[in-house]
Amino acid sequence: MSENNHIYLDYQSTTPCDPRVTEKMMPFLSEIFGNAHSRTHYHGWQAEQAIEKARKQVANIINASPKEIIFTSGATESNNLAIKGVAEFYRDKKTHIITCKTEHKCVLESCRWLERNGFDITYLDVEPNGLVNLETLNKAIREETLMVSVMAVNNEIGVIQPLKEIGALCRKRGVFFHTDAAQAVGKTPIDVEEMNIDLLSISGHKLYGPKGIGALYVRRKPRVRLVSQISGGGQERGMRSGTLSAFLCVGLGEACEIAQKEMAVESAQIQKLSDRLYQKLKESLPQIYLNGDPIMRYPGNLNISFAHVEGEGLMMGIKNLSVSSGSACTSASLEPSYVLKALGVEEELAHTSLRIGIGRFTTQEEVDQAAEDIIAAVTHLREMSPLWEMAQAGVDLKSIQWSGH
Amino acid sequence: MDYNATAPPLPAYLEGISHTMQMALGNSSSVHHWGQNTRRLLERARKTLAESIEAHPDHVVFTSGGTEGNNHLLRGAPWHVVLMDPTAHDSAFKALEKGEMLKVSESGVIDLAHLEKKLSTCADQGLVLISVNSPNNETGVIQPLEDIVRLAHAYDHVFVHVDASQALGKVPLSFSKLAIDAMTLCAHKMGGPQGIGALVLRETISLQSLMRGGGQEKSRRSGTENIMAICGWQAALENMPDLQHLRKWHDHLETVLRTAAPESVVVGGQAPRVCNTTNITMPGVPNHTQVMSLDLAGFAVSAGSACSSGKVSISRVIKAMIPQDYVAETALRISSGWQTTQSDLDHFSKAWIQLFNQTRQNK
Repeated sequence: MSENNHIYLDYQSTTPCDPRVTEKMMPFLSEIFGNAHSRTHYHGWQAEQAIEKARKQVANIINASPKEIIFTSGATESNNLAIKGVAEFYRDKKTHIITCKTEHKCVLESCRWLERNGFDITYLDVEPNGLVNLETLNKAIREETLMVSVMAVNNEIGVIQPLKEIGALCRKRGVFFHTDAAQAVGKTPIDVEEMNIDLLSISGHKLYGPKGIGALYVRRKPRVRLVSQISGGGQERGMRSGTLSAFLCVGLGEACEIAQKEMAVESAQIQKLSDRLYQKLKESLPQIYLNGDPIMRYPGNLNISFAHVEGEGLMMGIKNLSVSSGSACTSASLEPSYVLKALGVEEELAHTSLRIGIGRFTTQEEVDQAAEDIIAAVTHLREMSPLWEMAQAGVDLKSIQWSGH
Repeated sequence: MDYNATAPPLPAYLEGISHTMQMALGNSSSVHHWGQNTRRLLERARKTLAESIEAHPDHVVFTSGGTEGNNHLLRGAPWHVVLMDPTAHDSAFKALEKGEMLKVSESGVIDLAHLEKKLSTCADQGLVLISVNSPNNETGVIQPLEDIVRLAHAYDHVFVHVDASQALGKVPLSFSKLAIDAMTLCAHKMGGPQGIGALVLRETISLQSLMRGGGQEKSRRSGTENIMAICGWQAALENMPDLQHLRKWHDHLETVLRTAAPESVVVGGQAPRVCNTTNITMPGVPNHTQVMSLDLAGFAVSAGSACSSGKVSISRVIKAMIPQDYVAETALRISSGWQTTQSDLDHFSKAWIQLFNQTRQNK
């Protein structure tokens, strides 16, 4: 996807709505309500049919039953509802929750809120490759542990957690397993039965659907219960009140159906482009590091650190590439990523990391152009950098005693 | 004739949202080209909405709708006491387990003397919120907001929240002039998209985000903003048709119905009301019978708020005003909007009168 010489490479922050999705949404903006009043009830019924079809499409992509799907305003709400809603319901019985340090902010913030309200939270470290260590997780589970929340695909570094193994462990130890699958659904196969997932969060705008809509899967057998975070008319079986937006639900449903059909072909295409880009960069640039496990990752996410360049300078040098230096929510701040920090990436390197997102609409020409631009910018910055010169001359930069002024 | 449940989309909104849907949209939090373009659209819409209610754009927090807005405010701050309008919408009424009830008169207006007394006993108990619904979704009653604000602001820590989900396009509302502290707005009640709304909020209320996360909306509501719906809403706001002519039609409707059935009661009839809503009893005829018969005659009307439709239960709102069951049991809401014509209402009154006469003869 390109526009005025800008190339879009930020598919983790948001994906453009697929035109096939918008096309399905359009009739639900107008025809459903736009006719004579005498037909309002007929149309109300039609809108309900469409929403139930969408619920089925969402359920299908994760092998759930439509009755287990609740529509929300997005993954942030889904994650808040899953974590705070379940905690509130079971708080008299269990008050310990395990999550990990590399989770999305909305999971971490929900946990911090619970922490201030009497819960005990364990924030697990991850391995240097970004993955959760199952033995560490097993040891962290206690008698009073209520839930484990581990995201499926990391938004910053793209690693895929061992969901099946985590699910099996949670089931064995009798704790609920919630996964934030905003970056995973439609990109990598997810099966709530096979993976023993009890709660799962979905985002519309991360899988080529509209913004403002998401879903939460809540298992019925064995049943998971939660306290609604938004009360009122009692829609969504009492778990989430508020008038459902038919056109947004239809958009999410359609996006799921397309993704389910095309996932295999699309992944292969994205893998090819991703490999091509990474190879080109590696061939021309020494001392670049791929963050996160090289195998257990979604190929549409390349998070790369470039040694000995200045972070802001790099961003300025590739202004025509719409990439991100971390998660979009925090992209206005210059703080280094807490995810990379959790991986043990040194601060210097964390500052010069780029998240390059490749997606459904990325072309080979765009990837080639991006490689060319990044190589030029990094080479240029390194030529000007005394640190790079010293490193080339074999000086161990860490051994230098910088004098203060 | 059920505009208070949801209004048919305004053509301008459809045009606006269709246009936005064709665009490649970024994440409004991203700093690059797409992110910044989307941010511009978002802030432009925020400004339009703020201007329509005479608020500052910084006061506007976009939400997923009226229900979220109400929940957000009621649950998002550590209120010590919430003084609740008994005719509030369920999304406010049920958001809190604790909440002290205010009183309303038979015509549905908040009892100001009672409010004043309540305030004198609880104003020193910490943060106090008064939450009222105006105009009322079931009866159209408009609350005396100036008086409520004046009584509240006699104290330091008493805040006023207005659930104004039904207000846009129908009653002039000035957030700044009325000195309201918080206000809930909803797009689809005025012919905008479903799935979007706003909470308008003064800086004096420090809200803990109900949805925690990336810290969007100045940390008052996390989650990527719903840009398509927001742009659609903006287009609707910029092209809001004048609806004041509906008042004359509703007055006429009420006169005609009451002439045919002199014992019928216009619920809230003595209070100031919004131009598009009539809530009237048909003596001796249960409202579920009315809804079904009139539906067969081609009129979609409602016995109460839409959320609980499906099962027709007796209106809590009307009961709070008039305790006798027969009123709530026979009351019907007729709400009109931008597509309603005078002859729609004429046809409706004929059908209503016919149904009334039929049931009377059968007895």
